Amino acid sequence: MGNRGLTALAAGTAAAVLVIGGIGTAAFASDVRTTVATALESLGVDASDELVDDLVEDELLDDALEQPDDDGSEDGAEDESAADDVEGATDEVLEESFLAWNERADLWRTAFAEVKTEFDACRAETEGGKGDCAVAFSGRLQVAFAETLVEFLESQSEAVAALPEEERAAAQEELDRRLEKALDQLERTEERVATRDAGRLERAMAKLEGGDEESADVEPTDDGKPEKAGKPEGIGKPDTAGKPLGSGNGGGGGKPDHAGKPGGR
Amino acid sequence: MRARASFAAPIALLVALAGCASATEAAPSPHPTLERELPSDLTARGVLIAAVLLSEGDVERGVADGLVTPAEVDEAIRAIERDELDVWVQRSERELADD
Repeated sequence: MGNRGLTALAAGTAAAVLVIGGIGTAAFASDVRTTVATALESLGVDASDELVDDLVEDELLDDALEQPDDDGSEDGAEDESAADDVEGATDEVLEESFLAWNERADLWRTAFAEVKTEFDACRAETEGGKGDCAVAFSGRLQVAFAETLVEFLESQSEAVAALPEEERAAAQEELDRRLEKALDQLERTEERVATRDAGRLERAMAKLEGGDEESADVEPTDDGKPEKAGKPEGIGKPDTAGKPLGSGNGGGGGKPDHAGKPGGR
Repeated sequence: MRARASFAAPIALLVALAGCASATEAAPSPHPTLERELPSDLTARGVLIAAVLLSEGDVERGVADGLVTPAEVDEAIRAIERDELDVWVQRSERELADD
């Protein structure tokens, strides 16, 4: 095979990779979209295609759509029986989600409120670089939540110790597994945020040294993902713009008047 | 006869106006969720995403990633329990159309 043949082969391979990559991306987007549409349907609401498209816009949604490990499903047989009663399964999942949320909701609210206070102070002090506050906010938020989860799990040791002896070992094992995962998540989050902060600092220094006026309006893009986190600057929608800028967890911020059970369904 | 006819016209007009008035009164008032001003950490879109994550994902991950706020999760739970999620869909659809 001559050079021309090799070039053609390389070009063909590159094209195939691009095509397959494109298909993969499309399938991936379609999966998220299908999941969201199905979820809304199972919740008994009818959303337009435009609305579903809007909801799946955020790349981070895909990560959050992965069910937590402790969702109770163990094997295929259970899945089959659950499929027989989709509505019942939905209620069950919702109930578990509500209970899990209620268990730690106060911790989440506290962590959110603390970071948001810092964000508000940053915004108040900063005239021009509000985007930096937003990026810092999202990073702090993610670290604070990862820390919150670790603290919560660590606090569960007493509860495990109080269990009957025959249940204790299994519960401790499960707690250890979750704690290890949470610590790993915390470590990765801290690393990611630190890397991003370092990048921001580097860019800021370069901007100062270069005095490049053109770069003054450029928002830090970093790794592309966490900028939206916390929605501090919004994503071009009136409602999300400046989301955490107001007065704390007003409205829905208070503890909801439910006992963690999906009622009326 | 002419006098009777001249009476009839205003009465018909009054009846028609009353009909209009009652029709106006009969129109259901919009759900408060559609009208109220939302706090800064609460959006209709966020409530729907929180509801989806409660149903199909990991809502705490969503909070940690900044996809949704705790207030939105609270509101989603409240809406699901009260069977009022459709109101948030309406609000989102309206906001999307206004964009």
